Amino acid sequence: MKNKMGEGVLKVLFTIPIGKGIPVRVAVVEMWGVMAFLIILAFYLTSNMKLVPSKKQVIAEFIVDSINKITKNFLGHYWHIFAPYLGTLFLFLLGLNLLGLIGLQPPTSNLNVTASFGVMSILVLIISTIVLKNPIRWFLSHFKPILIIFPFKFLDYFTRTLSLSARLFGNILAGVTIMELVYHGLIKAHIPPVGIPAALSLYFDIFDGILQAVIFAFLSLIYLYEALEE
Amino acid sequence: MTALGAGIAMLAGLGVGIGIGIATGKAAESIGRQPEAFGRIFPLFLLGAALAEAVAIYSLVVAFMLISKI
Repeated sequence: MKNKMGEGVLKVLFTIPIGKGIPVRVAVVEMWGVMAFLIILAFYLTSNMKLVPSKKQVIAEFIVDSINKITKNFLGHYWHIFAPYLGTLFLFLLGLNLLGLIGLQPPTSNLNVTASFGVMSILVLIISTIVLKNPIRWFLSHFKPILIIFPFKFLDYFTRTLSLSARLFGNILAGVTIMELVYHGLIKAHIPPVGIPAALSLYFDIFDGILQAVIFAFLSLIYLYEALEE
Repeated sequence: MTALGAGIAMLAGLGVGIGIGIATGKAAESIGRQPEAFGRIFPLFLLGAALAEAVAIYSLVVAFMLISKI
């Protein structure tokens, strides 16, 4: 069991020869791959848009419409600002988590990658609250019901970042570890690994990956609603 | 001894199992009372179950960290 904390995705693939050499790791290349796939898919689905939609345009409209509707339902007034961010976050995380189906180790099985996503969501929360609402009132709202509640509200930001990152990291790493154990166990017992890993992968790879991407985006949405409510 | 510590860390699954079981029971009961409310109860149930399950996942991460001696 070599891949204990998901360090497999941290292997250096090649080095960009700028300055002292920037190491490019497996996780970065996997994220580039998913980014390229999503961008090409977006350009393909929205090419030749007509008033009466063709079949591929219906798919694009369905995705955008669902995300807009859910954001408007839960967020209220500022939905047109945050719907693109939340939609992109959800689709990107969906693509990253489902890389396990192709045979690559998903980059979200490493705490560094998921921590960056968690920090990004909390930064969006803090900066948007400061920009959209009065900064003085935002700072004073931390003392609001009782003066003594300030350390708890201050710690809240760090707790939310940690919980968002650790939830995604732990779920995906557990799925990767169990699938690896099943493969190697079947190979050691001289049973060809056909069928049983596929049935298990239906839950661990597909269902867990989709659910964790949904939960991450949905929780970011709920935190935004909580901070921006009138 | 680290294996013993990792095993004790996973005892957090006890509370999580009870919590998610109670939440599922309440969700099923309320859908049985009013079947049209399925669309509004289901996202709430999924959110509650994922939030509770995250606590068990934290203990799993602690067990992994103990085994890999970080």
